[in-house]
Amino acid sequence: MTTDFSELYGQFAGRVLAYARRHTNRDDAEDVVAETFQVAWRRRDVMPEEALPWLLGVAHNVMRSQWRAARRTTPADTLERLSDVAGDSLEVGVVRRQELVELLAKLPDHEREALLLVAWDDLSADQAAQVLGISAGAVRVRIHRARKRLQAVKEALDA
Amino acid sequence: MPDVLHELRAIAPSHEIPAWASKVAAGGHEPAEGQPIVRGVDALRLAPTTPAGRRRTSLLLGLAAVVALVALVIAAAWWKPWEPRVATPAAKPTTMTTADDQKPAAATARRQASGSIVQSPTMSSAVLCEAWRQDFTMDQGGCINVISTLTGIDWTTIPWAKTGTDGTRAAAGTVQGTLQGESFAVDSVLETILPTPSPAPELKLCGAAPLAGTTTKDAEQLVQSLVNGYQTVWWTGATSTSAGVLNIAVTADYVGSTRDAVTNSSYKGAYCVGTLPGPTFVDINRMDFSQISYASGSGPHSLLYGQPVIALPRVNLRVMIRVPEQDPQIAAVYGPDWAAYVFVDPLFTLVP
Repeated sequence: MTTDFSELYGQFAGRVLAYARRHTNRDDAEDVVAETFQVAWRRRDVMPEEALPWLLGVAHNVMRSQWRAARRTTPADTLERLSDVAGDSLEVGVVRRQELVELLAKLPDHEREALLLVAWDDLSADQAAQVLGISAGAVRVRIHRARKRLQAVKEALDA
Repeated sequence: MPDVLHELRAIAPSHEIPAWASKVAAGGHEPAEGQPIVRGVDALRLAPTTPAGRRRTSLLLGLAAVVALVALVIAAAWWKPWEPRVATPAAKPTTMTTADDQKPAAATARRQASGSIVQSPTMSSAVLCEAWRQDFTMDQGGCINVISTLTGIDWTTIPWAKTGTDGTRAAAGTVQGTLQGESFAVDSVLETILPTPSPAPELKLCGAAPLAGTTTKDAEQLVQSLVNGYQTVWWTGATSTSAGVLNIAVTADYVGSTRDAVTNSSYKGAYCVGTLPGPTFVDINRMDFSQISYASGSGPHSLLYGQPVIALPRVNLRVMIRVPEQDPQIAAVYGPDWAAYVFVDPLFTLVP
């Protein structure tokens, strides 16, 4: 693990940053990455082979402890951050991208979190469950509800 | 009608580190901090990037200021600077000594290293690999880190070697021999990995009285300029107001230049420069330039990476020094987590 730590950082720092960025501002997101990898270094002996879900779980906990000490984020903050981090896609288009971001911002936090771990972080439901510290079944329920909400609004708009 | 999850995947954020994230790109350092000294040690100790770290630093600075103020008042009452007195002679430079048992081994000394031995048709000679992955090149895996090219490999003496369509490899074992400029001349191959290094004799660099008023911060600025020949650095007797004694252990061929660097720096505290057994930088710099060229890395710890070797996924040469015999000393100062963060690759230790 020691010899691979720099590789681990190179491989996953961007992923952790992207995850942190959609929850907090740029400066804090960089600090979250730093704290996450400090924890990873200290606890490298217990780090599982599949490192990404574990690292995102650490980042999740780091941010949770920060949120406890800081003010709650508003829906407007969430919308702004999601708009900032969402990627561009020719297939989706600019207008639809903005619609999706606004819909995401309106989802309950726990549903959005579960959905984006799968959609944006490419995790399986089991891995997302590891990040959030809940059961895989609970993750699937949250994703299912979130998708239903989004799909319903989308169909209403399309109609 | 596309599924919403499909659309969400299409607008997933990039996982590349963006241009604004300069701290993350620099591995948790402020970019201006420049080249680090010890992997991990630097990342964890020298870069107060976290809010908690900043709070701790502020608290310590505040505490230090109060202590300094109290000490100033007490000192003023005791010294009575308003009364005439004889001038204090200037401080003498620290005397440096190196114990006999810390003299470096000769460059021609018999050394050993562990790893997998790999030979493929695309390589001019066998190489010693530090790590091995099953899912890389060659039908049996791939070499992640090349330690060195090997000469004198006789595969008939390695019965546990396996041959595939794309080459031959022998799983982790120990090679013994001598460094021969650009390669390592093997005279013996053992199936077992390196034995655990025996504890080194107690590190004795020198004893010197620390100068009050010189802090570890002053010393760290000095240390950041000590890269060539650097092995490790640590402080003894450091307090919030004094750097204590700065101990620097370098390879034998850099003792002189390191001492020059210290005396020419703004650091005026006590220091010691000594050597430990291990490969010299001459050893390292002689190695395999045909395949490895140095480049300044921009990775998390600003390691020096070599260029990829043809037919291998990557070669990763870290030009830091690890002398396992030194670990107990580092661990004694920093704790066990830090010891493993002082590296040299290629890693060749003396044959016990």
